[in-house]
Amino acid sequence: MADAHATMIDAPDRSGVQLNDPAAGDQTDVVSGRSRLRLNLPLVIGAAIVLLSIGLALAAPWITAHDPLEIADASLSPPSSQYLLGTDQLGRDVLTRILYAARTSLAVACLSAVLAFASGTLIGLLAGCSSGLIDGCLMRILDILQAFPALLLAIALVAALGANLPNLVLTMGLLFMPRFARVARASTLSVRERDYIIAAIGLGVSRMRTMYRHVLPNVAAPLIVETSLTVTLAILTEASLSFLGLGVQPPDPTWGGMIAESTSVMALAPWLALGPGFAIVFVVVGFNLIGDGLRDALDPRG
Amino acid sequence: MLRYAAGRIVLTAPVLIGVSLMSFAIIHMIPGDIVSVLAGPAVALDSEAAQNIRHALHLDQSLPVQYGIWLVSALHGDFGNSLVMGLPVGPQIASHLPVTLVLTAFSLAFTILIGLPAGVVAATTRGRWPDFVIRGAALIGLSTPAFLVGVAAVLLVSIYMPSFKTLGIVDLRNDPLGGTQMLLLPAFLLSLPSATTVMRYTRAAMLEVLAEPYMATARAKGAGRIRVLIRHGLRNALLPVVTALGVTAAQLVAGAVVIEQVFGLPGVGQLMLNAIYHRDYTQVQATVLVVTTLVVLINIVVDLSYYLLDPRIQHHG
Repeated sequence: MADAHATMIDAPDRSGVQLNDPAAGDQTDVVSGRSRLRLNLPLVIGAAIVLLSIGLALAAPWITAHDPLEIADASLSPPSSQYLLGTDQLGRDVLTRILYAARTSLAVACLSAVLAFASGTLIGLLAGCSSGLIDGCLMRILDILQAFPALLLAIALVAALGANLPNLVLTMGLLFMPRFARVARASTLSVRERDYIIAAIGLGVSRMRTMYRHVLPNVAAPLIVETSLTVTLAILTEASLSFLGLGVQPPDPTWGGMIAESTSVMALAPWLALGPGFAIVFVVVGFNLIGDGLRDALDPRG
Repeated sequence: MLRYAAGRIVLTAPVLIGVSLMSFAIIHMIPGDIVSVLAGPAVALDSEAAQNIRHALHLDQSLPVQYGIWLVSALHGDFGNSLVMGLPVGPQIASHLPVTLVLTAFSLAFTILIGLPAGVVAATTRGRWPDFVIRGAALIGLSTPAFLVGVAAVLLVSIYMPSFKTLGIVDLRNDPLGGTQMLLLPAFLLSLPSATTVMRYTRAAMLEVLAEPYMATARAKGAGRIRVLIRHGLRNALLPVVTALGVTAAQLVAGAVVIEQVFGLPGVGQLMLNAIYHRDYTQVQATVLVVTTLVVLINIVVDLSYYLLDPRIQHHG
């Protein structure tokens, strides 16, 4: 029952890897992994959306003639040929700011997902491979971290540490680390008694090397799925924090911040919130589709 | 039942202690000397004023002693005094808590009312258009931050239904009915991301249950389609859904912080954000502790409901 308790507090809302897989059971046809990847429509659409977003973010200086901080004398001008999505109350081009905000948002989200992936996987592997005491201690620490409502802890931590990009990445990395640790631990436990692991240990392969060369590749699939879903959570969390004024600080552009600024002039310029709002949903849908698609493609039960 | 409940509560104690440790640590994570943050750079760090602040906050004691003092008084309901207002922060939280609780309870109701039927419908129509529509809507719901829907809703309602008040004073104590009505729209919007989570869990669980032989047996013995779905299907699919609800409760409480800000609701979220903007860290600390403890308690209740839902636990637990 100790395990049932653990999954109760922290059952990851969308990972579904250990618990009930919300998407499992969809893939009943037994086809080889390769052809399933090719037929995987969510994965293809998701990858297209994400690549397009990254491309637009990187190409921002070539797409728009404006600077994200440049202030024109036309404030709150409606969409026109010069300002495709209009300007905000300070006269800054909205489209330019959306494109540059994509850079920050994607970078922060991906960096924190990578940080959570690296630290969580390490802890999960350690817990899965070690004895009861270390395992128990590590799991209780994860219990504690996950007892906090995620956004609440993020708000408190960022507020205490100071709102800047490194702290944002650190906080979200810490916040999402337990998800990876749990997935990595569960997978490690399921493979550690397999013949090839016992064979590796029997052959005299060192502990570290066994973990790195033999355990890690065999637990990688659910972790990769978790990564893309974590990116979606990170983008949403960063947007929420920035909306509250605790994320990316003005005057730097950020989607959440732009929506927050638009609320004061909403009656005058309702188009201001539209662009950044669409950008958030677009990118997050892309990463969610990739996650769902990867899960279908990599799920060994599929 | 009592033994099972006691076991759950004992298992939760270390988590609560850890939660209190982390909440306590927040104030010590602030870079630099807390006194200069509080009193401003004008006050010299070794002046008498600075010493007074240190003493008032017990900062002149060792960390374990500070934690002990803080925890013991917190258990007595004394969360310290606001660094800005000088008033005790406990009553502040108590006066802001009802709005958040009502908001969360309403959204939990919406979450179940939307998520459960949607999941059942999606599972029974798997692969056909209702399934696709529901899953498509869920994908969008999962990808949209609550504050965005909130901002959009305030805008749309103010344009198309000017008579419907979205923003206004919520006073649950003096005007419970009016205040509750004001909370309905925010609660509905807050529930949308959670409803998609519940929908996904319900659909997956129902798909598994629908394939069970006892479903065919129930149909074969002549039970009606709806009756089989509810009595035999949903009843058995509920367990993972209840787990999802426990997770959802934490999501809703955290989401409430943001949605309260959108609608200007006087809940603990607004209290905490105001405290952050004013660098009132004892208030922040206390709010995090109280809210997280509530979430942990909700999860105990969820855990105990397994006992009622799953007879297997009653025999083995």
